[in-house]
Formats: sequence, structure tokens, C-alpha cells
Amino acid sequence: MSKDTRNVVIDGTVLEALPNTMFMVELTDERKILTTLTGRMRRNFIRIFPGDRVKVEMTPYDTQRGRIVYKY
Amino acid sequence: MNNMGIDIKNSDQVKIMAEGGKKLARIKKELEAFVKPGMNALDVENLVTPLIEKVGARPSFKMVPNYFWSTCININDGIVHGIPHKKLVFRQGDIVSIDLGIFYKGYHTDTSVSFLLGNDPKKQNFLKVGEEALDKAIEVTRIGNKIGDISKIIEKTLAQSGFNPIRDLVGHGVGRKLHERPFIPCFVSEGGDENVEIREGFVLAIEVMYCLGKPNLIVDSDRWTIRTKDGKISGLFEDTVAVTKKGPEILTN
Repeated sequence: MSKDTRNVVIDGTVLEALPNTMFMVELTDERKILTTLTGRMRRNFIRIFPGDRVKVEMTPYDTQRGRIVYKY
Repeated sequence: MNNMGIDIKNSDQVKIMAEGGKKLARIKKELEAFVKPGMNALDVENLVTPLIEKVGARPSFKMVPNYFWSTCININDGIVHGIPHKKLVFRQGDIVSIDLGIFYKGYHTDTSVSFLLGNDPKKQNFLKVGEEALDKAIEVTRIGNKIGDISKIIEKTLAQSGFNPIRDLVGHGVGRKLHERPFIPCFVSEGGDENVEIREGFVLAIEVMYCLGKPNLIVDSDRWTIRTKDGKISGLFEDTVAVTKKGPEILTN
């Protein structure tokens, strides 16, 4: 079985806002990961608060971190 | 573990993996002879699962989260991760790709094969090139070479016949886990594990994944089956290979 190297996008809920626009997010599969904002999310000045539902993009190489790409 | 995060196997571990690989190879041969037009993918799945259990192993793929089958079966434009559905019926002229792995005495081995039902010189040639690419890739899997050398020879062999490597999927190290580093693309990529030097004790599931048309892929609504976007045929050849002082040792053959 081959390894899929494409990024996956998973839903999650923001648990906590951390310094440096980092966020602790709980994914729908109950994993808790550290996330940053994508550039687009920063440019458009989208505010993220604990409790917000977001879409997180993750690479297959790092299961501990992700990027918030969308806020619902 | 060495410092690059790649799990190096000692000779005892390789011996266990070779034992598992031999059992897996036997199952692969058996199902190659079994598949006939008119059968469906579930027939193959139902043949394979008891065979794996009979040799005292577990189906590796059932250990992948959210995948509940022993095999991945695809036809024609389907390249990988196809769920062995009953509605996937093999017809004369189909290219059938079967991917399976076993977890034996604590170690995974992984292999795939594509074959043609019937006679079609064009499709036969398409598959021959893939097989050749895997042979050549295994040939360069030697101490001192780089992971990039494997990718390079696969890409070159495919390109000589005008076929394209799949870019979104990679071969991989294999051992205690089904997917380990290094990751082995079928094309030369910038970065990744390309510059990792191959060392004694690497065990790699080298996968040649390629297609006749453009390498763009789509995922079916079952969220597993991956096929070519343009619907043109694809192929898949994979063996688990251990790097030894004497050269590459194919474990799943």
C-alpha cells in the first residue's frame, strides 16, 4: 500500500489561543494538534477564538502540526 | 534507528521479514492464478484473508486506520487503495492491480502486482515497462547509492516509453510500521528523502506507480479508491526489498 503524500484537510475546534498566532485545535478524530494560520487567513485579518470551528490542513509528514485554512 | 529517522534492521530482523515476505509472495502467486474474467474483487479479498491467517499472519492493511480490508484492488484507471467491492467485476481486457501486505512476527511486508486479463499488445507493453522499471529500481537499491537514484531510474524507464510516474503517492520504508521513512517517489523531486544514502539494513517497499496519460488523480466518493483523472490506464508494481552487503534482496518474490 503506497503512502499518499497529498495534504489532508480535517475539521476541528479551537481549544486555546497561544502566543504568536498559534492555536491548539482538537480535530474531529479527537487528536489535539498545534496549528498556525495560513498567510491568507492572516492577510484577511480573520479573527480566531476558542470554540471556533475551523478547517485544518495537514501534511502527511507531520502529525503534530497543521495550518488553519478556513473558519466556518 | 539512525539519526535520519530511518529504522535500520539487523540481520535477525531481515530474516523474519524474509520469512514473512516468502509467505506473502506465495499468496500473491496464488491469487494471480486465481483471478479470471467474471470474478469480482470481493472474491479475491475472500480468498486472500484466510490464506493470510492460515500462515499465522495478519493483513497489514486492516491495521491502517479506517481501512477494513486485506487487499487493495483496482482495475484500469484505478491506481491504488481500491476497496475490494463486490461490484468491481473483472472483464476480459482489464488491467487488474492487486496490492497486499502481511504483518508477520511483528513486521510488515508489502507487495503489489498488475496483470492483464486477455491479450492486448499495447497494454501488455504498458505493464512490461512498469515491471522493468521495478527491476531496474531494485538493481540500484545498493549500499552507497541514494534514494534519489531509485526515483531517477523509475522515472527514466517510464519516460523512455512515454509513460508518466504518479506524483502524489510514494513507496516507503517498511518494518514494524507499514509506512516508514524514507519515502520513495517515482520521479525525481527536489528534496524529500532524495539525498538519503542507502545503507545496509534498509528495508524498502519500492513501488512503481504510473499511468498512460496525465498523472493527475482523483479520489472516489468512498474516500479511498484513487484513479487517474483522465481515465487512462495505470499500473502498479511493488516489492519489499532488503539492502544487504551482497546487494538488494527481494523479500516478496
